[in-house]
Amino acid sequence: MQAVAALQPRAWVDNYADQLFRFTLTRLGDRHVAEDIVQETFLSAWRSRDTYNGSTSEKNWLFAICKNKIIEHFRKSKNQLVVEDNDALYFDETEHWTETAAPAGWQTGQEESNSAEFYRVLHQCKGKLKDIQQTIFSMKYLDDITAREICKALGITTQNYWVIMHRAKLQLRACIEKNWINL
Amino acid sequence: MLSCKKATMLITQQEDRQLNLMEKFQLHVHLKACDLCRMFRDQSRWLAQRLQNDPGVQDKLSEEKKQALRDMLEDK
Repeated sequence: MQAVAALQPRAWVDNYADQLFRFTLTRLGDRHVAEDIVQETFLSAWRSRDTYNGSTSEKNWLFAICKNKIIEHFRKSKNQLVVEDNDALYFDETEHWTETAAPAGWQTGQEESNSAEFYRVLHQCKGKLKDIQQTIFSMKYLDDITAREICKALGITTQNYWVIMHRAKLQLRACIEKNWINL
Repeated sequence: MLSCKKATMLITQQEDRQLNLMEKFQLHVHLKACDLCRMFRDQSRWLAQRLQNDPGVQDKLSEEKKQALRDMLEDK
């Protein structure tokens, strides 16, 4: 009973709603889905409040639930995921870069690349990726999870993982090149 | 010689796994000769760093949504 007393459900919304929302939105890109996931997180947390044993902070506990909800979301929508190995946009029939997709030289100064403007473009470009690509990106780059663990969590094959990841990188690179005026 | 499509795929995989000796050699030979794939490799690395340091979005939940969540938890 003591452990349960450490949770403060009535303060959850004020203390964590925005943080959980941003965390989810960064990983999913869709506002409505992100809102639903925050709601499900609070709901699950409330229902399982008796299992909270105080071994982690209330905040970490809620974030762990939220992470699971995000992964669950992908496991559910995974069946709709079609992994096409169709890179015609980027490579021609001889598997060389197409003229339109060939990388251009970037003048990448340290200063501009950390600017809010750069990240605005990055978020925009990330937003154009499919949900699954955004999630894999976030798991890899933000959460530092290994490829093997990502595949296990999302229930995809390593081969699919590479195709999804590679396509996402090609797409992101092209989008940044096109939209970031400092380049 | 490795194609650009295969070379860039190896560049992507290199972030997550050790390439075997043959792959390393093939990629090395390809990159010596191919400016475009070298650019892709450098830009990929550069982007990976930015992605790791991404401060994230600054959006907030709407006040209506928050109130709805509060009501939901109060109702319990």
